Amino acid sequence: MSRVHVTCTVNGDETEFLCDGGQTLLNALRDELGLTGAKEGCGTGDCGSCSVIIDGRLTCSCLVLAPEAQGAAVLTVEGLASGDDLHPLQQSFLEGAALQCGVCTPGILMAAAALLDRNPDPTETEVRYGLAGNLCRCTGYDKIVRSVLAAADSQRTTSQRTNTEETA
Amino acid sequence: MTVTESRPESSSEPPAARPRYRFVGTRPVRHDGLDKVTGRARFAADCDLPGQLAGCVVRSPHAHARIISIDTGEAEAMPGVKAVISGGDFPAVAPGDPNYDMGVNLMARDRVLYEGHAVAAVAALTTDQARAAAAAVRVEYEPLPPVLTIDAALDPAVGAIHAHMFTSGADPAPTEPSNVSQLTNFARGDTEAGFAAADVVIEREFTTQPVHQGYIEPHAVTADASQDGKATVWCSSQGHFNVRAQTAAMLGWETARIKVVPAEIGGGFGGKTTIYLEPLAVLLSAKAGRPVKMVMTRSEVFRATGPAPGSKFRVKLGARSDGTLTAGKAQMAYSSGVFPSYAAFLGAWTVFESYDIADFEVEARNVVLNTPRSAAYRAPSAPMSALATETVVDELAQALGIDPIEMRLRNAVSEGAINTLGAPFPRVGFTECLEAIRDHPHYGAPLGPNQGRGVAAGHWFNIGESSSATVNLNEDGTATVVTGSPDIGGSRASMALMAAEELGIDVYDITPVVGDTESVGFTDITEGSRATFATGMAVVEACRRVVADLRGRAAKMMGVDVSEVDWADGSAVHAGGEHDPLPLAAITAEAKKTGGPITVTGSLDAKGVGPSFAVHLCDVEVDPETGVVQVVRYTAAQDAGTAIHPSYVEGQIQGGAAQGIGWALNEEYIYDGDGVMENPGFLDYRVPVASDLPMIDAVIVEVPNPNHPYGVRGVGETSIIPPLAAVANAVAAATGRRIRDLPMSPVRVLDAIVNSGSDSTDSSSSNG
Amino acid sequence: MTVRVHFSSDLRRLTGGLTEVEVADPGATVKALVANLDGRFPGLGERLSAGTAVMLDGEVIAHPDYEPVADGSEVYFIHQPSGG
Ligand code: FES
Ligand code: FES
Repeated sequence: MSRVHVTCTVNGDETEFLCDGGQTLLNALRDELGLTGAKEGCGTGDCGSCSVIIDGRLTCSCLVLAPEAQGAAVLTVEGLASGDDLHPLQQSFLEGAALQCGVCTPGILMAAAALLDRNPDPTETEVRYGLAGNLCRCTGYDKIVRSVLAAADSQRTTSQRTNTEETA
Repeated sequence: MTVTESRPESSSEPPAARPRYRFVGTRPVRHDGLDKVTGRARFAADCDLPGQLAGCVVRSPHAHARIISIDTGEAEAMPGVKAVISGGDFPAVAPGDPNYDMGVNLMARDRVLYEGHAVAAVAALTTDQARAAAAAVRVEYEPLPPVLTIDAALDPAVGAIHAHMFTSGADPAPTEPSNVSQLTNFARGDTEAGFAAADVVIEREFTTQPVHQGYIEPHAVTADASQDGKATVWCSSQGHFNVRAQTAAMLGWETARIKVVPAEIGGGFGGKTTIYLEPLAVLLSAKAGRPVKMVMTRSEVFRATGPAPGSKFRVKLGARSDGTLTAGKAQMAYSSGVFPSYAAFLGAWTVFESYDIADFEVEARNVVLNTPRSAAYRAPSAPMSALATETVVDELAQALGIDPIEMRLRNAVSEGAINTLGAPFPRVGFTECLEAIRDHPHYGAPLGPNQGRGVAAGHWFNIGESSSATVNLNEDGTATVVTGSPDIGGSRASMALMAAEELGIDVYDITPVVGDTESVGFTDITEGSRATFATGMAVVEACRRVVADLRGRAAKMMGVDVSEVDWADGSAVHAGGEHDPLPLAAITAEAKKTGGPITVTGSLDAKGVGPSFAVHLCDVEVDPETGVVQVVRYTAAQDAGTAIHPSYVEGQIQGGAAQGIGWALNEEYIYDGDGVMENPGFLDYRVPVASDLPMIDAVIVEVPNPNHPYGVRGVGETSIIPPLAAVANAVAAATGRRIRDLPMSPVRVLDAIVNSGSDSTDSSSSNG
Repeated sequence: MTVRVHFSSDLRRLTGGLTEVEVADPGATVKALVANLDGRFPGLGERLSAGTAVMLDGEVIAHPDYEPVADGSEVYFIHQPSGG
């Protein structure tokens, strides 16, 4: 079987890999690149545990063929922190106890990051709808929603502070 | 990163009358949290070995059929295929053997017993090759009529699925095999007299369908069998010692030949207390001489792993006009899938357990069907029995014009009340939970149009069982706490908190670890809400012995008698004050000179479990046009005994409530007439998503368990019991219609609204 | 020495309908007590040794065989529930 050569950016790094034509991006990330943060909870687009951000769009990586990633910029949970600095969502999830088993967490963090990119000041309802494609069976979502709202707050405060500093 | 302590918004009361602790009851960021928010944590499917093969299971398309032949020749000849196994590769099991049910469930022998039943397994170089080979295994079946409903199973005219199964507990002992595996009877007093003394008697029927635990991580395993006849197994489970014992039993191996390494577990809720893939992977690996990894698809998880039983009940309760319950009668049936279980027994025990009822009769039957073998799901059997009792209690309160909480307060069991089995209750916090809900602002808040409010209670026993913990003090005064309890909801953090409290060092100076089966003592499954209770006791015991050792070392260093040395705030303190206190790190630094490394194991079979009660309050809004029910406000109070890490206690309460709401409104197994599951995916088996739910206000009630060093009761299970009835009572309040068949899907609710559905007055009688 | 033993109602088939009995000279442990009861109610021993817990003086004990009983002890034979 001939393998397909794919070149793309993964978490900011130029990346090349070989895959089968019918292989999902989720499988390629996990099996070819060793990035096992994205999980397969269903393989049919119903649980969101495989969520990644492709060219700025939240995507179920189980529904994308790996060759489709050619030339794209893929962001996975492994790329969410910058160096030692956690993303505000990662920090707020830790502080807010927004994970129990944690298997849904990578996908939910990506969905929440995509939401805050679009809408830095979401209401509770907007957070709930923004995460409606991501199943969590452990938490009842309460602490997840609170933590996303808290991260949005802290992100806004930080950017306000930066703005003020810049103007000052 | 900085690790900070935070107190997210929550209404949990500050603990009133309990000792002040330095660590217990605080909310540190959990030790395993960072790995879980950065994608580093390794769950079962994230474990890979060099040279591993992919395994795939061949599953039955029939709900019930005789296997005439299995031809694996074509599959074995396919590219990349390294091993194929079927029932004949496992040790024979005879009907009646203790291993029969599990052995046959793992791999069919002469018959398939449900759709999805494993008949063969294949290992190949790639997943695609394994799947192709699985499809090429030729199985010839002779279909048999399946038994698919509780009514059919109870019908003596319908043939028995198992020719060797006779109803146990029946008197006289039956002479014909039956699909009723077990009968439980409990009784007290004179039920007829009790009903005669009642002013109102209400009798109702209820049905619920099987529902799945729905953990997001499918079952997965990697097994590596070596030439010396040993095997290492990486998998996620609620108990790796149990995986080892069951896998060994299924293969006929000695326990010591198998090592099980626990991966992070992506949810279990009772569903990962048993095994499905592990012996298959070990056998395939042994046959192929290479590691084998197997991962279930979501469809396999639904079709072949344990859902909770379905149920069918008739429950009757009588009450005097002052609200006192006088008598109860319950006829119950639980379907446990294709093999027997204790579901009916637990249902019979729980149905009237929360209330002091003088006279009762309970009869419960466990039936088998041609559906997957059921498994535990959080407080097994109790959500269904509470649906029945808590609905009828609600109707009685309504009929008598009594506030539903007041009605429950009048009948709630408390210390010394005699339980269903005849034993007295220890100290429990049911009344406190009822009062917490009664006094919560939610209880009196106004409701909008088409909204209704429901309340319901629940109780779970909790269990003790065996646990081990090893505490190793490091040279620099930090500590490692190794336990054998898989951490399914933050238990590592709880272990570290209890160890910090005992040793008097910072919680982040403690590294809590879950050890594999060769690096920590035997520990039972994380189930029955036992991890923080029982494994916590083992941690406390180990720490107390560490402290005794530390005092001895300090005495040596001070040159005094050990009786003069106390332990306070992480330091050895000389009672006479002539010597400066020696902090723990100063003692570990000198360990080589005072007797060598400081390491202690605590192992015990925990006694003194404390039952946990919960009371839930639910507001729903029902759309009269579509029948859609939206939960708009939810408050759940639960007695935790003592909350070691309140955030994760709240998490257990909130998560259980959400699962119960799903059970009430959406979730069910749907079978076609041939017994083929029609909704084996998250699209059609709909679990609650974020937009289906409101915030769930978790109110932690703390009535300490006197038998635990920190008063822990265990919190993992009770929270799933009340929601079914709380939602049903709220829907009744909103619509004036009682729906007693779950789930309360839009179709059913609309039908109830439009056609008066299940009416609200049937078979209630007034003796006045 | 005398202890009082209580039976749950599903065991009464084996105890001829009795819900509680006084046992004089019960032996030193729960195991000895069960042997004593089996002599009086044949079949009860087998039933009680198969996964039955006891509540002994207010504390649930899952594996009680070697648990000491004392004069005046209240012993409830119950069942060990499992969990999820
Ligand atoms: S694995 Fe992709 S949505 Fe479930
Ligand atoms: S934390 Fe377990 S599924 Fe979300």
